Amino acid sequence: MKLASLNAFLEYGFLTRALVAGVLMSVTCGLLSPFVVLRRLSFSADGLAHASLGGLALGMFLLASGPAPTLASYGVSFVFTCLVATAIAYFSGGQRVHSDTAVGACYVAAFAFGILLLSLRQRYSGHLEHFFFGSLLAVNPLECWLLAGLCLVAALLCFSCWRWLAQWTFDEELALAGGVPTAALRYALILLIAATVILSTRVVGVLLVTAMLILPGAIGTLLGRSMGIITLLSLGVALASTLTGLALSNAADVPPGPAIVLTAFALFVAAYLLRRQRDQRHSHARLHDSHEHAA
Amino acid sequence: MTHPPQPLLEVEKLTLDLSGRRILENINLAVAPGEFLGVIGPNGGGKTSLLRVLLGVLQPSAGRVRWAHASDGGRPHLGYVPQRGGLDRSYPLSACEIVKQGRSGARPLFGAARREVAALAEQLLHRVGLVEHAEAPFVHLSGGQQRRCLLARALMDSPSVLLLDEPTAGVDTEGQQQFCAILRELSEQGITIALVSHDIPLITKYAHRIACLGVTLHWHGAADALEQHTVLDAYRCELERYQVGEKRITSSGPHFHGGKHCL
Repeated sequence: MKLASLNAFLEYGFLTRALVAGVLMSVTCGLLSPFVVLRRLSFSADGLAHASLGGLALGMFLLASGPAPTLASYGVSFVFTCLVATAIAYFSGGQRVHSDTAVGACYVAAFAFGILLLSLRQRYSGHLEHFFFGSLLAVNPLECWLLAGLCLVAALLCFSCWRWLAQWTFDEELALAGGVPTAALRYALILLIAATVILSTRVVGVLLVTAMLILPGAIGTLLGRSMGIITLLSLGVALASTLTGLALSNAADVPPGPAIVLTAFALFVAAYLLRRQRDQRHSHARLHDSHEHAA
Repeated sequence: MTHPPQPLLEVEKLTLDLSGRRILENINLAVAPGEFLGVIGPNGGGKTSLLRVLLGVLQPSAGRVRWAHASDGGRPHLGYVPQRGGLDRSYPLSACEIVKQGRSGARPLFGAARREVAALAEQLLHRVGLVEHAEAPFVHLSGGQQRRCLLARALMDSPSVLLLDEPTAGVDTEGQQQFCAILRELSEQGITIALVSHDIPLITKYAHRIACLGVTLHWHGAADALEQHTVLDAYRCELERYQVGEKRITSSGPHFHGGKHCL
């Protein structure tokens, strides 16, 4: 998919859809990512991405669908992944099981279920490449609309619960004592992650979607000191990674999913080095101040 | 004829069971407005659980909690300073941002409301002596500074009651004295305070009254009336040496200070 210029993205319908889908996925992941990172839900996001294989396989098994997912197969996959997400939230909500254990237990079960179903329907295994690595150029209008709806829901949740979410990231008990509905927030966030994983699978693939839910927020938290700045940085990084990744994909004729994720990772490394430099500068300044104070 | 002030908080026959275990049993307690109540007791005695019941996070198995002048949800505005565990060292938010989180509400603030919250946060950071650390990440503050930051956070909503769970644990003596002096000042301004602590000398110096909890309420009375046997009975352990206000508690039994019978 080598193209001469950005004009091609606007000229061809499938490329325009790819661009729109990429931007919508970026905004959704960019909004959710800071909360995924600060609430330490990275493993949950990864687990749900793997668990969605079970949903996809179930959709294929029940509907005998082809390589392009239909609304019905998305529905089956979404319901399945949401059930896994609910089970994770339920198990980790009490104090009997650590959240990592809950995620580990639930996602391997869902993944194993998916493998089992696919082994019964071997003729569909050829389409798994799309599932693992994404097929951005094959995004259809329905998927664009679903991504737009998801993006709107994520934006509404973030806006209407902005300060609750910030309090929840700091301390769950403190937030609960302050009247924040922490259980509802946990369920809402994990269900949104599940939906994001399923719909973003077409853009970057299930193996890479987790990166877009983690890296933008990780960069935001490395450089920001307030939730507003962290979220803006996260959004900016997600958008920049997607657009740069798409451009690189065109220029170098490589798949867009890995190009997007590697761009985000390069930005993560840059942010880490920037932060390290800033910390060193601050510690030198503190040392200088304490010497002056002692003198 | 003057009447005693109506209690702000009345705990009646409160019993709490968690996971089949009795945590609190038949607690009766009354706290007057502006009173500084110290809650002491051994580990597992139910001190934190009592605070969590007062906060509404836990529901009592029996009995009830009644607040006078209650606002929304049957409780007055409560400020809470939790017992701090190990917060992730990479948590990025600054001390000032943590204090701002204390203002209740779900939606983001814009314009004048945002400026008002920022000004109040700065004022409270100044009050707890942390204004020069406002932009530092919260996790980079020392233990004592973190507790003062959380106190400022708890004051953002102008609470009429402050509940504090071992806020001076792990803090040096000077930091403890500073913290309790601020609490005493707040109490004098009319804020009711319930402070859970293991530090009996400190708590008896600043609190008006003491409640000694060990599943049941062992004792409840004026801070300067706390006796050694009460503490020993509640803690059921050998006490090396405790200074209780002007009185001294030793493990070897009661002794005298200045001709006055002490513990």
